[in-house]
Amino acid sequence: MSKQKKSIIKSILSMKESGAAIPLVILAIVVACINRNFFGIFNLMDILRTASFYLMVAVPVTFLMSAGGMDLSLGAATSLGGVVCGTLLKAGVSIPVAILLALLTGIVVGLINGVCIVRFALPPFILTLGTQYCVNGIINVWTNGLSTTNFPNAYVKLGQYRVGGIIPMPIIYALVIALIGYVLLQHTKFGRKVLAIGGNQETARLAGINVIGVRISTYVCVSAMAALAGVIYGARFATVQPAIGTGTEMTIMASVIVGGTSMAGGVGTIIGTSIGCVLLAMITNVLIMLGVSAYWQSFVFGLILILSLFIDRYRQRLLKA
Amino acid sequence: MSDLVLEMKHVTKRFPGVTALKDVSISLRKGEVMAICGENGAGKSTLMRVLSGSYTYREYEGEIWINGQKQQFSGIHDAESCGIEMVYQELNMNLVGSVAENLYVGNLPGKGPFVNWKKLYADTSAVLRRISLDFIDPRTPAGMLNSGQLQLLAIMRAVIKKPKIMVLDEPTSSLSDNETAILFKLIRELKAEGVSIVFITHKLDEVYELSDRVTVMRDGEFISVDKISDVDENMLVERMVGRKIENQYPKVRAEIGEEVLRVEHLTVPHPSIKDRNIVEDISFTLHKGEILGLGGLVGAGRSESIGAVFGQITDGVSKKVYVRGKEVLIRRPGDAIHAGMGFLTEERRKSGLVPVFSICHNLTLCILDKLAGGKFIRAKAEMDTAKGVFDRLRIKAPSLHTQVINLSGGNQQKVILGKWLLDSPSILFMDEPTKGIDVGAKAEIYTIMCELAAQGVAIVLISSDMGELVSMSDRCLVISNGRITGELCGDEITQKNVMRAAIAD
Amino acid sequence: MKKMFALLLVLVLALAVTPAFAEEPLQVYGVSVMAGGAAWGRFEDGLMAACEENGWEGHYLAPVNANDYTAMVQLCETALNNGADALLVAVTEPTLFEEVLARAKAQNVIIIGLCVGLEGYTECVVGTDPISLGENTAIALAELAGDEQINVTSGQTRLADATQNMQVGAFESKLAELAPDAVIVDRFECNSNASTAADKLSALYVANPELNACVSFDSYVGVGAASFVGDYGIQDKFIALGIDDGAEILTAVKSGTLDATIAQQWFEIGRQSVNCVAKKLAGETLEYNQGVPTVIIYPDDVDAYAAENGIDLT
Repeated sequence: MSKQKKSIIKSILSMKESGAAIPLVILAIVVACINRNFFGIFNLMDILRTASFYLMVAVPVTFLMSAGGMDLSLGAATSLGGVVCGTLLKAGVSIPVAILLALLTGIVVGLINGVCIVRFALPPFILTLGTQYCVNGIINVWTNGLSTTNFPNAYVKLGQYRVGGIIPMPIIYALVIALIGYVLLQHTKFGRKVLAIGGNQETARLAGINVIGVRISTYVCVSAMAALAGVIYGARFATVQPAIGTGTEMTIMASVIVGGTSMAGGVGTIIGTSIGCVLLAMITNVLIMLGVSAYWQSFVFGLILILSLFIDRYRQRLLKA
Repeated sequence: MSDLVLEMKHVTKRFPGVTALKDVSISLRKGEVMAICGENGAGKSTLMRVLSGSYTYREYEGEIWINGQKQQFSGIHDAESCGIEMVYQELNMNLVGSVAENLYVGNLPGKGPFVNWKKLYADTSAVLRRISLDFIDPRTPAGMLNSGQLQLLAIMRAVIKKPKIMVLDEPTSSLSDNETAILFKLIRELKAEGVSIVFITHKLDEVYELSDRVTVMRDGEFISVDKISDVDENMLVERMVGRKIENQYPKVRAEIGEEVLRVEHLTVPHPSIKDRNIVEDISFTLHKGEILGLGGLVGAGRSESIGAVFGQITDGVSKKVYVRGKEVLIRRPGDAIHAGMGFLTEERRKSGLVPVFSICHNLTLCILDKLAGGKFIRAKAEMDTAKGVFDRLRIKAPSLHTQVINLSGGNQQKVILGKWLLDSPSILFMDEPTKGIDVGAKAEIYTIMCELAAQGVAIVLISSDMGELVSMSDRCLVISNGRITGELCGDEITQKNVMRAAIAD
Repeated sequence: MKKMFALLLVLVLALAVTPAFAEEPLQVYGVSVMAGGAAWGRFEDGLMAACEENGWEGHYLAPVNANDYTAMVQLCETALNNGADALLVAVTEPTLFEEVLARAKAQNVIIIGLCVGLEGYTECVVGTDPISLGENTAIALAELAGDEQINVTSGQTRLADATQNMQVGAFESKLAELAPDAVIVDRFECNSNASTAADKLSALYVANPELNACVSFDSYVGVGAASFVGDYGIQDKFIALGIDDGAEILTAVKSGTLDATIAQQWFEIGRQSVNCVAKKLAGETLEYNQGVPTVIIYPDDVDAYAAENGIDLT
């Protein structure tokens, strides 16, 4: 292999986002050759819209993982946010207040997670699994498993309006959140502290960083944004489903990891997370465009995840050499 | 000499970067008790690991002769079949299994896959009786025994295999006086049975009570072996520490000013042993421009003392801290930093650096909130600040963006030092600051320390390196078993005095 | 590096601007709650068979996680983006689907509802709507019970599933009408897992010894119920009603562990929905409710039914 080619490959692989970027480019090329319907503007918008719901929550999750934490309850928090907002709207509460209160419930869930995990040192995996079940249980009892619908138009518009008739609002929200997240992580003292805690918690603690406070706030951010995502889901579908968030935690955490943020902490990339969300959102779409049977979708989904991990491992080895 | 049961000839063991054993030869007679003494890092444990087969014959130079026959050990099993049993300092017990199962591990009585439990428990009871622990039921889970009992158990585990040569590494470190007496009785019995015993120890009174001969090692070399009657304590200590000190220590005495720190009644509970304190009611003072050395053996409680003062350790700690005469409440590291303290910990990787961060980001870790820019970090301003100390400390690296894991030990230590210096501390705690660093970098750090002292910074230096401790300290406190056993000033600070106080009770 | 990405972006945009719906047969897309299984597997077969007859290209889409309604909406969108001419969809929650159906309508796509539809968008609804299903279940149960007092529990996929709650609701209302002294002993969910269903039935039976009937709104409830009845040996005392016509269910009915099963004729539903598309294209007016009746299969009916529908009972 010529020296030039080798250095191009090396510079591509030097980006930690390549674990997500490479499969995305490969998929796009494959589908471009076989079915150009994929590139229809509405199809692209649909994919980006799906991705933006993941991204809204994946951004704070990037922070959380950079600090070395994890949260399996964010799907439940999403459902909760939607349910709270929906119920309040039906009760006649104004839209801004309903949304604010939904955010508040997200904050409460995040505080519970944060305090239990950080202050009482309970293991995050099991604790958040527990919160997940509790929150979902509360939702079930409250809603009896039924969806709520018939919301004021202004609320529905929040999720369904398209800028210029083309770009759905959720994409805008996600872009804003991603931008804020990027700046926060890379250019603020808070972001640096998050990364330091993930990189070596004891060193950060000894350096005077308020480890407990920062870690709890990462949990709070995740649950709050998850609740917000639930609110926007409700607007987008004009329906609040009690189980809307179920299962999303896996996809979201996968997109963060695939994007290049390390689960061990200390390294985080919002760009990578964004690419990861788009990648995972487009898989189903691409498979349909390629005419792959529904039965194969799970398999291919898993295959792509594993491929991303291998790319990342190969990349790390290459850089060490 | 037909009663030579063991001879180790010209053993040399190298590790990357350091030679742990240099041409060491020792011999052991049948039924003899031999003590091996030396400081931390003298090579005693390494030599014993060679003997016990932990290192295979291919991993070192030199020969082992047992009863006049040359042996080549490919592993511990080979050594064991020659009758060599070693009891390590780290006990290696299965705390969930019963006392009996631990005692007879690998050795359980019975046929094929079946265990003869009756015999096992009967045998165990007999063994326990021998060491006066017969009140313990053989079926008790080993985790319920205290550390002293566990240590005796570990020793018996070796004894029941009927070795010809037994090696004990610091056998009394966890034993109470009572248990120590039991052990001594056991050793005398074994000796009478013709077993040869080698034991590594710091405690000179034990050497004199038990052994026939004593070997001294220093810096990986064999120094001397004598009959116990031919040598006294002073001579032993001198040989353990005596070394030529070239001027590796560019010490410049600074002007010592008023008191900046006073710690009173500092007590820290032991992290693993219940109802014991690792630091027992110590008090000390520190002055402006002074370098206060803290000497003592590993495990004496030095790092824990400073960790407790700094707020790193808080559970059950009681202390009173005064900075420049005013009492300060330190409940977390942030408080200590606010009071003007800095703390370079012993383990760089574990608590000194953020490995994935660059040099620049590591350097600014303590002063994040003090950087200009409100909530934001101005990259250029940060770089400039970091560059200042990067140059001043002469950190050798391609750039400030290099990840710190790619640096050598010496440069990593400079980064950590730089991190604390950026916060302009008036009190700096340094725990083993030159551990694992090459000579050149060491000298640079010493120079920096003297510069800091000249500027009025007060430094506490914890060190196990005698030469360093003696040369750099203006005053030296020695801690043993959590208490201050010596305070040395000026010319009193000699390696001998420090060592003596370090092993005092 | 940045140049490569810019190039890529330009390429994507270029491709985006040029649409391409080439000459191809009529695209029929079926979107429903799950892939495979006794019910929807047969539906897919019916759909494909009918499409082949008409010379059309049939596709069946279902979410990776069964009963994920929002994923179904997204699948509809993708179908539309891929040039669907006809959309056959189970509109499980009308307001959820409203947006995508509006889009379909704007693109002149023929929309057929499967079991559930949305008036104003779906040309017709083919299948057994949830209310009818619930009511038929109640009717079947009342008949089997005769004069005996009924203490019944019902099992569904998820307690949070809106469509199934409609079915169960209709069942309970109709039952109250037919047998006023009937007692509803709780509902349970099994997440399409037969063991879970069997376990839950067992627990309910222990806690409520007077429990004597169970109805299913998920195929696997039937399988679990059959296993439960077999284990306790209460075939004579306990009325267990299954749903759908999978081989294991039919075998259970034949052996007596299930008293009967209510089969929705999925293959028929698949075929009929495609026929409705044909009729609409031919300009015919369609009746909105294209009900495909359920069939109650009793032990004596099993062999004949299996033979007719090509189900292998071995």
